Amino acid sequence: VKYHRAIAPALLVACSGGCASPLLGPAQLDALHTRQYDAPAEATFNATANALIDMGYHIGVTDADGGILAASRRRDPSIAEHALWLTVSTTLTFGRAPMLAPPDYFIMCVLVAPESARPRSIVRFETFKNGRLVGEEKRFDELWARIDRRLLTMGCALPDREADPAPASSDTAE
Amino acid sequence: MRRALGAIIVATALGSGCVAPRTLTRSAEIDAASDVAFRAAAATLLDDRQVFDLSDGDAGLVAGGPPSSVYGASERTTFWVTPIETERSFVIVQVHHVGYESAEALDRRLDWLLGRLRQRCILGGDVAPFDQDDQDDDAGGAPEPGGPP
Repeated sequence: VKYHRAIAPALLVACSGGCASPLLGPAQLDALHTRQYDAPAEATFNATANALIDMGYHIGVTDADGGILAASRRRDPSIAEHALWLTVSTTLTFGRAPMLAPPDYFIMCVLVAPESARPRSIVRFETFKNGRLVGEEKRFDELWARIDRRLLTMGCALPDREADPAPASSDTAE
Repeated sequence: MRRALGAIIVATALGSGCVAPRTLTRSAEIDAASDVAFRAAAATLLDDRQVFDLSDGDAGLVAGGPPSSVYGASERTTFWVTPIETERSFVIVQVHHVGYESAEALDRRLDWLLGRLRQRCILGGDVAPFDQDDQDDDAGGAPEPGGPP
């Protein structure tokens, strides 16, 4: 009985820490999801696709005419996480149902649209983690930074220059 | 024993009826160019927290579903935009649902989708998210994006 009394609070603490969602409201999330660029929509689309590939995403849907991208990424747990899950599940189920840590699935949907005042464009995206909408500022910042970098390498700071997509670099996130 | 068996049979029959696939379609003419209506349709899908699974800008087709559809689809929304005139388009929106939503709830969802599409077309195909205050006003008590219809 003492054994179970000790496990229950530990489970509660673990669950409250793991289930904590980012404290951002829908309006704040929406604001983080959109950014305008002083570049044509075609160049911004190319930059966004490159940025997603750089971040380790696998592009599943792409439509340059419609400005639509959908990409997904799987993050496998580390060996330490697997070991933790295996230990905890084995302990809690008395060795009957040991399990490994489940992977995380990320999905990112991007819409790139031209603005009326060309050559400006607007990028809007939504991110999902394991089927739920997430708001991780770190991830947003990373995407914006990579798009910025790509646009700069394309020379889109100068509106007169044509977009010239640079080859994808080999650096990947995480 | 007989009553229990009967209850199980009735419950199973009712349950299987509830999860029957439903497909609702609606169409509308919209005073906007086809590219504007297409962008509005894509932004509407994002507003509804859906994940794109098909897009063809040339054909005017864009479709999506809830993010859990990666593991097994339960709902799919398709927009098909066809140009009529320079500043006029014909939009077909279809919701294919396999689950427990009633036909009325799906009907309200279609209302919300078309209402949001019209709003975005009026704004010239603006793709930026709407303010939460605006969301409360649109489409006459429409559901929150991503929420239950």
